[in-house]
Amino acid sequence: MSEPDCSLEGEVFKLMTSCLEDVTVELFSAYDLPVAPVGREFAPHIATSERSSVAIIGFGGNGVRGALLLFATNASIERWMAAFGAGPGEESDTLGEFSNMLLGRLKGRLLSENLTLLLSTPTTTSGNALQLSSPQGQSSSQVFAGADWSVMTRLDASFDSGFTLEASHAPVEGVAEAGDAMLF
Amino acid sequence: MSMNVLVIDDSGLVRRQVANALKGLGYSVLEAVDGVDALTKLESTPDIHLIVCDVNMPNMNGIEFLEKLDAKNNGVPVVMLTTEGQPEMIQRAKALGAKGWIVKPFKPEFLVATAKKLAPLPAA
Repeated sequence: MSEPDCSLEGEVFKLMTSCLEDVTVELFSAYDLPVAPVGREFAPHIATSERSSVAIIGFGGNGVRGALLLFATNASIERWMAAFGAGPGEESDTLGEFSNMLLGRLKGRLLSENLTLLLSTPTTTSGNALQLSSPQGQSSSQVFAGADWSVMTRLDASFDSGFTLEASHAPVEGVAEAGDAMLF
Repeated sequence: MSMNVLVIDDSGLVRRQVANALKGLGYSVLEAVDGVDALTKLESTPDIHLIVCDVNMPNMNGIEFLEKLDAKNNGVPVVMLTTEGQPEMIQRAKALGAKGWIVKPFKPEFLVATAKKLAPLPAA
């Protein structure tokens, strides 16, 4: 059994993965698609020999960079598409937009922890027997199960040596949450 | 008179969600995939009454689009529709002339209320 990583980088990564788990459950719930984390290995619904899609969206911040990966079989994605208003052939766009919303929510959560991230735009691909490359740096995968479908998140992050959180400001106020709307 | 809305987003799904929310009310919706495409569409279709714009997009993001459009003086109201909620980014958009900010996933009724406020439909 490996020793727990008590470094600042380890603690921050643990926070990031914990927040990602929360926002994943929240995002799917917002579309009336309840999910629960079920483990770190592929759920029975995810067989990589099936046609699958993966969305990858990068992020960077002061001393940290990485990517969020969202992986699901196309059969799983089809279960969400009706709730999302998507039609046939839009599996990749659906997955890409979900990855975008997930990372946006994670960014909002981490702002109040003095970690500011900038986000890239998602890239998606589909195919049979997709294999993800081995992560560099820290990585954590989590499988979530819905009624009859699964989705996997993977968060990869690398920290520069000497990484520190930003100086603590007053509590971050005014972070807009999902669903918020404001007029100026 | 028809009220024309330009929705700018690299996701076809989001563009369609916006269109679905507004078309039934009598708005005509034109689509663009990024800021560059939007500027081209605005040149060829000057009669736009409202712009709904994503922030994170390839080629030209929503903040750059506000700068290029000169949104502060352009006269066409722009509402940002994005996953971003960072206060500094919201303030930046506001300073550049954006009239509103909506965080995805959005509630269609909020978008409709925003459209009616910024680009009211003519009385029937």
